[in-house]
Amino acid sequence: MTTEVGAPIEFRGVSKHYGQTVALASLDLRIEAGEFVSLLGPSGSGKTTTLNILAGLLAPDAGTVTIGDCDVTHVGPDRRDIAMVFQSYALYPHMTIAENLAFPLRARRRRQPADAIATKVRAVADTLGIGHLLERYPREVSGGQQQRVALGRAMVRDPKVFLLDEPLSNLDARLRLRMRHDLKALHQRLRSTAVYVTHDQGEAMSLSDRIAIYRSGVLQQFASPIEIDRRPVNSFVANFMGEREMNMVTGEIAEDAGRAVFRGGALTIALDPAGPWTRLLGRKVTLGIRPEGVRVGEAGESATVDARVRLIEHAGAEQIFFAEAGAAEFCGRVATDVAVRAGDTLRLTLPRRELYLFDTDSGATLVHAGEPAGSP
Amino acid sequence: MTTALAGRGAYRYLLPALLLEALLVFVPLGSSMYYSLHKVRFFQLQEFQWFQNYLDVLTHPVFVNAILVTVAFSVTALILTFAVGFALALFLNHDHLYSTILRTVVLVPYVIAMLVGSMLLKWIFSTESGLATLAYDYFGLGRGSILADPRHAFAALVANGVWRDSAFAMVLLLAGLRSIPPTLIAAARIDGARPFFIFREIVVPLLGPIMLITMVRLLLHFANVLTFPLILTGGGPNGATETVALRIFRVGFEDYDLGRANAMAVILCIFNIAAVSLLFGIFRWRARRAHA
Repeated sequence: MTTEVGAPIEFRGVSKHYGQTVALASLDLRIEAGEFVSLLGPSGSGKTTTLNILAGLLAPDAGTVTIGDCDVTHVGPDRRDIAMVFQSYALYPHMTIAENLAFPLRARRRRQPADAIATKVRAVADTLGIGHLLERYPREVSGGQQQRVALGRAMVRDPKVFLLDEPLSNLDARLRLRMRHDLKALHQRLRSTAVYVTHDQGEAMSLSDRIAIYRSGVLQQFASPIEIDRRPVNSFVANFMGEREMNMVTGEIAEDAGRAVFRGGALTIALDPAGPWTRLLGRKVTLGIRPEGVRVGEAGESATVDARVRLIEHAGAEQIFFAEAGAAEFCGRVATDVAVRAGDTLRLTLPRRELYLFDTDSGATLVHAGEPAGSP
Repeated sequence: MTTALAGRGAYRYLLPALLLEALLVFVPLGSSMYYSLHKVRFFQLQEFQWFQNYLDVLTHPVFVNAILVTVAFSVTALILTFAVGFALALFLNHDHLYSTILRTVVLVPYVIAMLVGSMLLKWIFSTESGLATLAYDYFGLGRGSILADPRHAFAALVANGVWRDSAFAMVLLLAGLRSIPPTLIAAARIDGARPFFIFREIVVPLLGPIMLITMVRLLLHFANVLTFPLILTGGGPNGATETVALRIFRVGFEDYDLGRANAMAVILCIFNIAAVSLLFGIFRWRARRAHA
């Protein structure tokens, strides 16, 4: 619709408390103009609070919020030039879809003439492929179509900033994937700044330029999807990203016959001598590896573990296995043509480039992707 | 399931409700009509006389006056009560401590007995010891007696209705306001709508059915209420506050002329039906215009 890029957003020291509960603890976040940013985290982690403060629906206890060049901390939502898509879509049930789409234009202080509004509504509806539904009421169209109407109502004003509050969570799985794709394409065309709240890491990964991960009201990490995947700042972030939980074993780094080993979960795993282990000797650490990182066979210099398969799940083109080794359990993937059955013993290879080490007490990352944390 | 109930079997389940309805509504209504066509003296049913009772009451200036008073009272009290109730509902539609307390306070006039409430107001408005006269004095408005002046007495009657039934309107409208999803209001605010625009475009249309129900209940209540005029003003001065309900009570139970009293009751019943139909008509017309 618009050729100009959206506005940058900045949070400075923004916090929000409900009684003793910290909903958001001193948030500092700068979102660049035209960026697509996801706020990701479990329920109650502060991501929706951040969005509501940005929308102006919640007033922060402290700090400032800036959109473009304007400090909007004390500006009402109707004057912020933002648009929002709600999880429930929040379509006005007593209005037709055309009336829903026209609402933001009619509500505006300086109102356009009726035919300009109608032209604009028609254009947005055609963009989203809901042009044939304009005379219907929201209850008369499908969930996916309602979702598009909600999106259209947000687009119709050409806002500088789009806020999306779990907009896809009420759709079925197949439709969700398609809308995800459409959203991405739409953003590439509109180039508005988009802030997207979700608890689905897959959605965040595929849509975002950068992801902000929250936990208990505290921003953990704000970085690109690849950065977050390869260099998570702590075990929470590492575990939250990825389709499945990371395999984690608590223990310590020790020396055994001149070679660094990991001892934990009733296992002793000899580590690749080339890795940065020696400075961690005697430290309580948690060893982590993603299910995608676990290989079957192919040893080399890498650490290996013999594990007994407990359970197999079929997942389309591959099989997910859960295998026990000592007191630990490893989850991994093999192709469907590999014959694996429950009870089999597999030699699992844990390549250095897939290994993460976290401080067991603080959760901070010590080693990611086989490199010491803090190194470039 | 549907086929089993589609036939005559379905009526079995409706029978208890129909019986009750007949016993409590149609039998009294029928006997009222029957009485209204007879001459009745001191509870003694005398000769059948067609519509003589109706003719008598409709040509009697006191009854015509009562109709005018009833219409004036119902409409004035309805508008004011609805407005005050709606304002209270909007004002108290929060979950702060003060609004919870205030909601309870506002309900007090509604939960105390109507009779007691009207007696209280009568005392407040009385010339000898009334608070209102005291207030009149304080503001230098003279020493006029409220209940002795026709216009003031009528205003007092309306005040009685508003004072008591605003709480009723508030309860219904508050429930309606609560049923509007907060995200709709949030969405409208983000869409750039100011409070009045949201009120006009979102709140009022979504509240339509509740507003209709509230108005119908209030209208029926005001058109038929006996306690207010009977206790507060006694219909005076000079019939200025004598409503049809009070007239029926007087003719029926003070003059013991049940024939004419029932004739008036049937006329009041028709009046009620017409008024409610009018309200429904207005709402349907509004809804159709909104979607034209």
